[in-house]
Amino acid sequence: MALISVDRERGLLTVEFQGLDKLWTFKSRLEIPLAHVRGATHDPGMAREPKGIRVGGTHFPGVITAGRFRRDGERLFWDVKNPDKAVVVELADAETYDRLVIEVDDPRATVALVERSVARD
Amino acid sequence: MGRPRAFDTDQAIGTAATLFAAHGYEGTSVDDLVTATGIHRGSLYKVFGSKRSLHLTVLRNHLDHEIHPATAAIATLTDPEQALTTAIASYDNGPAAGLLLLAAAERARHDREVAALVAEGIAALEDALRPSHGDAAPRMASTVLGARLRLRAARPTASKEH
Repeated sequence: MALISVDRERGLLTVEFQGLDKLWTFKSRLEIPLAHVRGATHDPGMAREPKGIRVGGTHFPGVITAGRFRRDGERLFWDVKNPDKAVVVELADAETYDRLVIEVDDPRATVALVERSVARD
Repeated sequence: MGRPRAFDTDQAIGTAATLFAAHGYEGTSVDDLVTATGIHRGSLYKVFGSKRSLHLTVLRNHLDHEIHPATAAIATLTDPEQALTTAIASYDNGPAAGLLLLAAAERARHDREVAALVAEGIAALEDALRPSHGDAAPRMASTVLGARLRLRAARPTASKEH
């Protein structure tokens, strides 16, 4: 579980990992410039996708997917135990990751917050 | 499961439009979109950014390729009766019939960009009815929307439920 928030003043999307998820993901937080965020989608089905190769983090299939993964040339960052609450955040090419898959407490509110904050091309 | 493949974006938008028109925005999952379009999930995200972004693209496309051509045709009619029946038969129609109506009911309250697209579609209908109905055009537009809603309610589609 993580908390996704938007810092408008600094123009950042922040992902703060809660509790033990800091351990599983090897990270306490991610900061992404809002200009590199393309959108967010509540997507419980995402967790059934093949995860690819674990680059750094933790993967107990069916229990937790956390950390950095690489699949089909794309770099994904996962932090999901409960797929029902998984939100996919799509990033622009310039970032460290192509896509974040993050479990949040309230997917609907998180998606609305991120979608409100990104500029549409 | 394969690598991301080149695919026809317009075709994907068309398929997504029929899904959103049949099941609504919330009722259409990313799983539904992946299955119906046959597009790799990663490619879907890469091209459209998010489900909301895809929905906005689909609505924009529906306005440009269904709503505006239909209203342009209605605007050429000066006979009030003919204009009204043509509008009821052809407005918000096509393979994704009802997409605008559904977006108005489901999403416009929550989404400013959807609300703007819906407003554009309704304004186009009002303008199209002005040559035939003059000042009564806004009222006639409401009649058309109401008739479209009743037509939709009266005709359950045979599409499979999820």
